[in-house]
Amino acid sequence: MPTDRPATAEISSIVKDFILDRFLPGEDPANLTDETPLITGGVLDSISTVTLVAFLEQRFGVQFQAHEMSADYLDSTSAIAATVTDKLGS
Amino acid sequence: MSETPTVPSAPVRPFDAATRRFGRRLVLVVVQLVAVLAVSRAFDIEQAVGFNRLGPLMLGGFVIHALLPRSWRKPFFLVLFAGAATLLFTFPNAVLLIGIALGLIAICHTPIPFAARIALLVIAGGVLALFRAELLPLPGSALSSVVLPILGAMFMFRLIVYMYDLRHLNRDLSISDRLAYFFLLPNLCFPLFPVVDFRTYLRTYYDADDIDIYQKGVLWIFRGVTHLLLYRIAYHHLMPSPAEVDGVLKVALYMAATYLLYLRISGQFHIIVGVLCLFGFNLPETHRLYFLASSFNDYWRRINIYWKDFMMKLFFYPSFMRLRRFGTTTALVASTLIVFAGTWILHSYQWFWLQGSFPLAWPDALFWGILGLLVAANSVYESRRTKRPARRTGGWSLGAASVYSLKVLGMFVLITVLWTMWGSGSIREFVELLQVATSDSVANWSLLFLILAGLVAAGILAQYLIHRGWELTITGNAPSFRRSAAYTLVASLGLLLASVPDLTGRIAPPAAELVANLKSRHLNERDASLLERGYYEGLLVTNEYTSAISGVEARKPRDWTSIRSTDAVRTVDGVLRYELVPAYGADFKDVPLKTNSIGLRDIEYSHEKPEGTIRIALVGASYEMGPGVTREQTFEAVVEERLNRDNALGHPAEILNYSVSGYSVLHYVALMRETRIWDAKPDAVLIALHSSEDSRLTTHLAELVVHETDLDGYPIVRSAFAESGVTPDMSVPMIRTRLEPYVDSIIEWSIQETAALSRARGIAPVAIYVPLSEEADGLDVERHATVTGFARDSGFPILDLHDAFVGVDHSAVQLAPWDTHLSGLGHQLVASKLYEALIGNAHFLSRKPDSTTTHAN
Repeated sequence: MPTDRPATAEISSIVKDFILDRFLPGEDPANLTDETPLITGGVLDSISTVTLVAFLEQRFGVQFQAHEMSADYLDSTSAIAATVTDKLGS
Repeated sequence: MSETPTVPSAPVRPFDAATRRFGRRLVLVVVQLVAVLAVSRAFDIEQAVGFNRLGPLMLGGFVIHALLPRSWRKPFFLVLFAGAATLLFTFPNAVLLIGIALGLIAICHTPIPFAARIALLVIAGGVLALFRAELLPLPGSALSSVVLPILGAMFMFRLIVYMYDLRHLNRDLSISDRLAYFFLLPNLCFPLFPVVDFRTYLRTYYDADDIDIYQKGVLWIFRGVTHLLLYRIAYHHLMPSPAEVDGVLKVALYMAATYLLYLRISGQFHIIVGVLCLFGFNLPETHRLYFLASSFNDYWRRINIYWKDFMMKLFFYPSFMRLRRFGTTTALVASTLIVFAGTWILHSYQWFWLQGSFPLAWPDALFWGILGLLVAANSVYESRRTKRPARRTGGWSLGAASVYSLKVLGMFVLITVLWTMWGSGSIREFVELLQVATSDSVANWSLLFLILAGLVAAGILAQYLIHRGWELTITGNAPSFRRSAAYTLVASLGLLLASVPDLTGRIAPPAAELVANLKSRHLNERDASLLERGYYEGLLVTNEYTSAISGVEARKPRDWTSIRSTDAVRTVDGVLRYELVPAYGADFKDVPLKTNSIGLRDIEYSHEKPEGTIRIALVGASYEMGPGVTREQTFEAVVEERLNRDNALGHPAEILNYSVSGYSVLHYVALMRETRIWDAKPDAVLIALHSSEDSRLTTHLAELVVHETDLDGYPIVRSAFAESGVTPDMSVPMIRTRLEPYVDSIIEWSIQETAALSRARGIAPVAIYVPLSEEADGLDVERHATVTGFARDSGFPILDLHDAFVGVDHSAVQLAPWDTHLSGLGHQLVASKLYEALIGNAHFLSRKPDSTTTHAN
């Protein structure tokens, strides 16, 4: 296994920081948990989703498909981290 | 991806505390559901589409479903669909519907390459489309009018989503998972609910506590019912008739009411998703306070959310991912425009499956084009703004509240204007509407701005109250079970009490009329008039889903057209414009339509009046000609037959029917200036009058304007055209609006003229007032008084048949839900009244008239 791959928890933390910075400025970080619904909860709309995916692709060097831009893959920081981890591992 | 873990089903062991709690809460849900269904029945909410029959089945099905083990529930849901389809559409149609549906789903899972399956689906869809367009002979009439629209609702978009997700989905699906996605119970009543996201459908199935999902369902059904009641207020009380739109305030009201009619769609969607929640499909909301959108993007995200999600998934994200190499802004704009272009085309595609034609109208293209550009611009703005995060204040600020209120109001106004343009028959009509507003006085514009300022102030106040902790709605995402149940029950019971006419009449008499209209599914004045004159036959405005007329029009047979579009009539010169073709014979509105050698819808009469025969000429319009009933069923034929059978006049009687669909009193004048009537040597002329004379005359006048007809001999019409400034290049609605002030004086002149023409030949003119089918629910007192007053002032004796339908249900005397002409029963009832009136006033037939009104009681 390559050792320079970030752990899922680390990915989750990076994603959380990005979301707080870009989409929830001024929000208490404690309110954004690993399971806070992002798409179904209205935090991410279509524009912020493409912005987030662009960030993930650039930050982690992964590639997203159009069908992955959905709540099944991106609805929480834990789901996002799992998706990125899957992609890094594949 | 792993699915969201589901919460275990509530246990059903008999003496367990949790089970007892489950039972208590389930009973409470059932009680609310009964109350909500009672409200929908009391106010006749969507009963015409079969919700009255689906309701009890849904209620019983819900209780059984809730008590079944989880693994049995989806199969039971499918059984319920089959039962409901049989109940609503008969067994053969249900078998046809389910059989074709299973065939389509089977193609999705045929073990051949994916592309081949897509090709097979396209071929199957194409064949069904040929049936829908009636380009292939139909095996049964029900296939077109019943089965195909429902199939369209089930498959036209869901099949696309299903195949898209099937390709990428990494989980096992049971057969019932796959089938239940298509066989959604509410579609049997509500075909206008085609889009559900497949992944969302899977992810949300029992993803919360059972009872909480059921409670959400009941609450949403109730919300749907309230939307539909508000729709009726907008439809019956706010929407001005075209003639009333004479200034900026009425234009504003017309536009706002046009937009508010969308409540019909959101109401139906709430009911549909609410019903699905009762069966565990914990789907998200379809609309979110869309009248309060504060930007174009916000509007797009709040209204018809399922459609937005569908377009994002199938169009926006795939386009964006392909185009982003050209830069984010370019990709964003291009993808957004693709979404709106797709929405425009798919809107017509949806209309095709539901209504059978594929309209591509300019207002439609312009609406989606403008909205697409505005959303694209808004998206670019938002995407850039997010790079400069704003600091959240978190507190109340008058400035921020004012800005927000202004944004919401501004968006409401802009969408209202766009929506009105979309609903206009043509761009010209819309521009003329704007001209009515812009040419109004400064005082009226000032008043409009004052009203808008008041709305902004109300918005600021509402925000302040919310800031202070007031809960202004129950519509939050997750109200508690108790709060939601209490609200639903109390509000339902309140509405049920209000629906009792005696009670409302005693407590608040003015409210009685409002409640009566809330209970009515009749067309408003505008639509009734448009339907009578066949306006909708040539016009498929693509947002007419919001009109009460759309429901009945969808069920109308395609060959059910205006007589003007058939070979039964021919164009003639002058004010008459058209007449029936002599010796014509063909089916019209499902019955034979035959004319005699002089072009009457009647039997052949001898040219010379037989010795000793009383001959009566009947001059009327469609109600007298009798479209949709056989000649023998028309009240003219029934009366004639009975007069002769009973020898009621002491002589043989002949009634020659000169009536033609669409004729106005001005047509009567033109007809009576010809020799056809007088050649028959009638002893009397019966002039048929209705409360709708104004509507038909306005249509006739607009036709005369458009065709620049010679008006020699019609000075009053000529001067009305000159004074009103109408020109042939104006739209018909504008011509109608401008001529409206002159209509009554032309009716009065025409009635006087018919009397004079008759008297000039020494023949008794007699007026008969024939009620419209909708007057079974109550006489149009004002129009009745106006029309009969004109006749009385002209010296007509009047045989007033206005109470012919008393005690009879409106629907029984109406030809069909989509056609307000008289049914066979309607003709019979009119015939009975007319017969009594004739034998009671036989002296009218043999002497000069005096000015007597006779009620045929």
